[in-house]
Amino acid sequence: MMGRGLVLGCAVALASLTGCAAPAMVGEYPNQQGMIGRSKASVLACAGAPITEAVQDGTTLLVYYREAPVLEESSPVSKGSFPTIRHGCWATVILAEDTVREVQYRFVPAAFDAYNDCEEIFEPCVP
Amino acid sequence: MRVRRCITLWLQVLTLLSAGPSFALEKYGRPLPSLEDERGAEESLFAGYVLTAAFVKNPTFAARPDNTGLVGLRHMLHLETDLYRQYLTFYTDQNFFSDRTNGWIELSEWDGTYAFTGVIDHFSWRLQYERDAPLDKSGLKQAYADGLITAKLQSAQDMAWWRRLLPYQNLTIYAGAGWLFHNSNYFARPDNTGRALFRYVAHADLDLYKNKVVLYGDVNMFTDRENSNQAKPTELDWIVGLALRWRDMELAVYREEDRPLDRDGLIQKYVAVQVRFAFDVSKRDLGLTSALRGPAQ
Repeated sequence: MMGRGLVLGCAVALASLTGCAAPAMVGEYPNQQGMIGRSKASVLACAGAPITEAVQDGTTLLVYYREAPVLEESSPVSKGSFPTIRHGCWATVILAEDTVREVQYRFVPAAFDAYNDCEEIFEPCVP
Repeated sequence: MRVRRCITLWLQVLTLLSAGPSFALEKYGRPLPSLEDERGAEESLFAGYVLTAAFVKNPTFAARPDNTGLVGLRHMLHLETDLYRQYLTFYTDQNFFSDRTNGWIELSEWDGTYAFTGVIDHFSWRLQYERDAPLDKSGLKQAYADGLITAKLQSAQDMAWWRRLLPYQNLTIYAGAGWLFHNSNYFARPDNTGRALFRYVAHADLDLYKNKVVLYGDVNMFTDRENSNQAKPTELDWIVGLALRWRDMELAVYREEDRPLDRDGLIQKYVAVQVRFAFDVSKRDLGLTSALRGPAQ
């Protein structure tokens, strides 16, 4: 009984450790900022074809997605594996007058900071 | 204050959920299109990896559940699929060992793991069944089923001091506890004594360079249901390793040591070199979705 109480106590402690779960904050990152000012052709040349391209009122949106490789998400341990959180990142490149004005990142799931995955999309673009 | 912050957050979440079509007013001043349909196509249908490890130094890590032999090689297949986004995933590990005292090649142990896992915010849960059996002779089989809850901490979000010090070396830590609610000969110490009841786990990944060089550690403790104090750890298993990744491949060097905590006894340890090859098949790869969309006017 005492052991089970301790496990329950640990669960409560872990819950308080992480506090009220909130979406991870999206900041500004080197590759993301390095895309500002590029032309559409230059983005397509280095980042490849987007999953979706949309044009609205003179603004072009190029939408990319990268899921973290399974090597990151599952670690082999003693006689099996330790699962971590499957995660990925959406990157939306916003162009006006053929120039990148902004690049927005969105993490999946929202509570997991997956900026590395979005940064990887633009890795070939930044020297 | 924390309660008020949580209530405020939940109200915001409820407001977002009730906000009809998923258009978000973004900073640039116009709504971005919904991404959910596209993500459905891009998400993995199933993924996994195969690995082979050579136990280059192994004085004591046994090659069968009855603690006979010494492991020479390890081979493993990992398969996983999301049944419902990140909330419900199924995975299986099929793990095989060979005995270096019996020629290195013939397989001596087969460990099969079957698990459901999922993520809710900072928490992960897992429900797992594992069965370890000898392959080259009859003998002791071990099996258990457990439930495990872990919490996640990320330096980028949860440790401001770390982020200031090492902005591009992300540290991700998982820690939690589990209960072996079914146990058939799954022991509480490396010398095959006791019966495991609870487990305490911790796992850390330190991204040294763009997730291409990763230092990782793993700790797993068991308690003994036959002890007067069933919550006191009786075994500590720890692993520390360095992984180099390139595309879908990984080369890792790691060391594991399994030791008793409440008495003297057998310590199982080894150093291994391991290669992993990953694969990931999305719905788009199998042609289960329409081709890429062109510009939408």
